[in-house]
Amino acid sequence: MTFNRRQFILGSTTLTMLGSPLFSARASRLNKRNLIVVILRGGLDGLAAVPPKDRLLQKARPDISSKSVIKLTSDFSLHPELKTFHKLWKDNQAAVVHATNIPYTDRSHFEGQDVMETGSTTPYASDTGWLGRGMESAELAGLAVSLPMPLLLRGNIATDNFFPASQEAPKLFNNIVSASLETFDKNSYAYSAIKQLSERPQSMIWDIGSKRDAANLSKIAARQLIREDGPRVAVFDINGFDTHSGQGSEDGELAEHLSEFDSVIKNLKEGLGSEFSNSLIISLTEFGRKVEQNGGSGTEHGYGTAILMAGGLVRKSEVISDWPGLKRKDLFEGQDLNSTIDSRAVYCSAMAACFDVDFDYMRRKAFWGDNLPNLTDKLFKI
Amino acid sequence: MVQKSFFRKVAFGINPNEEVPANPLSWAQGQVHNTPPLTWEGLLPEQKKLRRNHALRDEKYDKLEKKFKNDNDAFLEAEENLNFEVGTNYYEALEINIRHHAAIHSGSPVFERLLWFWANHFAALETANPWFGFTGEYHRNVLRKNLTGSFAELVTAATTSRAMIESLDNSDSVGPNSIQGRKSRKQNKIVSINENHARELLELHTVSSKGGYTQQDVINLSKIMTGWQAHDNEPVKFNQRIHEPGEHIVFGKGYKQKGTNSKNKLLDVIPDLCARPSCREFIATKLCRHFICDEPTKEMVRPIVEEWEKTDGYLPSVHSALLEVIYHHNNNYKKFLNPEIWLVQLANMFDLNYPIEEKLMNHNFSSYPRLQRRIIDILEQIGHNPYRPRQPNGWPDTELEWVSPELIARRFQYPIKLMQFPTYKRRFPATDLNTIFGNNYENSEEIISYISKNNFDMDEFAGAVKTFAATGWSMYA
Repeated sequence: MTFNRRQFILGSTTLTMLGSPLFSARASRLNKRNLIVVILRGGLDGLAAVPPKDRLLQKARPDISSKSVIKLTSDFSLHPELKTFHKLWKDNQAAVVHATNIPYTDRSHFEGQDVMETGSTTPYASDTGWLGRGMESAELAGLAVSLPMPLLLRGNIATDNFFPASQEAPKLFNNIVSASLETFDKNSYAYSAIKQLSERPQSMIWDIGSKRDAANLSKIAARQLIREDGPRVAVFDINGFDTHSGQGSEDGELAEHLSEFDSVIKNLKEGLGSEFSNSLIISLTEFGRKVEQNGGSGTEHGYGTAILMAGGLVRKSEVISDWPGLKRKDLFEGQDLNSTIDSRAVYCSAMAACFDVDFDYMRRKAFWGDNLPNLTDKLFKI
Repeated sequence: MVQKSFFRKVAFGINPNEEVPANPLSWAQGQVHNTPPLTWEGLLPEQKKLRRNHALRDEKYDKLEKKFKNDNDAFLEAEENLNFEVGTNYYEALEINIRHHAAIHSGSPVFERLLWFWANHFAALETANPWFGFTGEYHRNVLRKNLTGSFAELVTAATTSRAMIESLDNSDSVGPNSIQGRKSRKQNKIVSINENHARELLELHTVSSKGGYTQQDVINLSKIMTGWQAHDNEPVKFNQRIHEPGEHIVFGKGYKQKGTNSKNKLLDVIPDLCARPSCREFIATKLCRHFICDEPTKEMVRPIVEEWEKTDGYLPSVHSALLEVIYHHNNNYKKFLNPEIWLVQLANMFDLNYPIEEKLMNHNFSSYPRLQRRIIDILEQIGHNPYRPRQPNGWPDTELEWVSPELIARRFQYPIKLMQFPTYKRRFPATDLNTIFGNNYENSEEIISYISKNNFDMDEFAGAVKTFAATGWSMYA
């Protein structure tokens, strides 16, 4: 058996990170690469974000098909609100994986979101997330840009989270935090969170601002990501993709939220500066939506959807897909776009590329060794 | 001997002006049989009034848009004034004050805690129809008035409420073979049911995802639910014109119209869902998780399920059984308190002047209700506005979900806001900490010694509240 360099590093530094969770010895030796996951909660309509050229789609969606889509390839277009994404596409810095989903078909948000974050094939089977486990195995620290800690990031003790507060932290914040530790049970989740808080760098305690819109949050995240000893992973949440009614086309619910997603990409691009070339932004959602619109100009929960990726680590601009088609016989349960790519393969490959570890190592650590194809070379610059 | 944490598990702790109840279990069980009257003497808005304001805003907003088509600054100013006039930002703040007033001053804190549980179980989202306080009004006028009957009656009331129908888009659900549906299809319009509400009625409100239903059951239940509408500013009504006719099968049983309209189909299916074993298992477990510990045992759940079976889900009996289970397991389990309960418990144990009193909550409808919004603003900052869970499954019940570093940081940061209330006055000398902690903890000496060591505040009492708020003692019951 050949002892590969990556595995050696992983095997030898486990103890180091316990002492210095935000900046492990392994992290210091790696070229800094950033992975930014944007969770689009509610079920992204991949068919509206990246519509295929197919008359069947227009026919099924007379009220919600945008006329002013941007052409990407001979087969696919882009929703007009994804303007930054399109600019990056022209620079070979954006790509799409289409007709993909996590292996979940039961159409419940809560089960779907659980599965999308844990990376398991059954709901409520794990209390840690695939990204948390991936980071833990690669000894990297992360940052969630939300008030609660997303399940996606659990399983990694070196992950902090932040969200702008309406007032500054109290004086002697670190002292209060450290003192309170003695009043908590050492084995509790609360204790771990306070421990993490007590190690929060001063630069973060005071760099919070008060605006909570995606624009401000992505700027703060970028400032933390470009710090030499800062986190390597950031996670954003955007709510509101559950477009049962008023989904709209050029305007409407979906356009509004896609525009929010696009502004996250735009601000990260600006804030990361030259580091953007070492970064990958990738979307995550629980499922797609039915092909046919409903009576309320919206769409019902479906199955297959699209993953949008941007950043310098994208190999080239393309729509990667084993397109299943939209004829009724090709649809899942006769209603939904099918999924022909297990999206966990995409996320596992993204972690392998960004964390500089073997795909198979990551597959074992983050996805219990489930049978996922290695797409690292196909999708990313490594 | 039951420990005093019982009073913090089932209520909001003991106020220094109260006697510690000699028989905690009967004290708690005595609160579940009747709906206590609200002690709030200020404004209690009715839904009709809120709907009228909502309509007024829509109507005037359209006019303003036209009037100031070419002058955006003037439009923004006019819009702001319109928002003041109709009470945008005010009613939600008023509702939270009424809610917290009942928690502390009703004399039935156990009843209120149970109401909070159910309001979260049947979570309606303020964001579906924002800023007018419809969610608080729904908790107060629909759920609060239905906790002394059967669970099925409570589900029926919640399911047919305006807040829930709006939250889960049921108004948009049109039967393809209904009168309206056939007409629209002739005009080549797409007509379809909306599955959102039916799916959540099964998954979140009754039998749970383990209930064994199929996608076809969801579709058929959606069809049964077509016609229950709360359009725009109207009250809830059943609209036969969009109801899908015929018989629909859910869990193998058919439901069809009896009488002149099809209203009964939904009213008939709900008790059948509530009678399924998966429903009582699910709810009993969730109750234990909320009140006792994150991982309830079979021994906790069983007596509640048995009482449910015996009484067909008669809530006062189910609640009594629950309280007995909490009582028996109290000393062996610690429960992490969610931010809202933690906050109100602090206010109650320290007898702060809380919430904002009636006359200060009155509003002039011509300015931003900054003072009135104090509590709702704090709740947003500590991550827990009960009217705005992110999703229809409500706020979580487990410690892991509530302890991100940032969420904990907020608990260290925001208690000072309780001290900055316009009505705050220091009521107690520091020596009364003995009463405060003695009423609520077995280890009051340890707590007081920790506070004296770590209190660096100029105001000794305010400092005690803040220091205590940042400890495990305040966050667990």
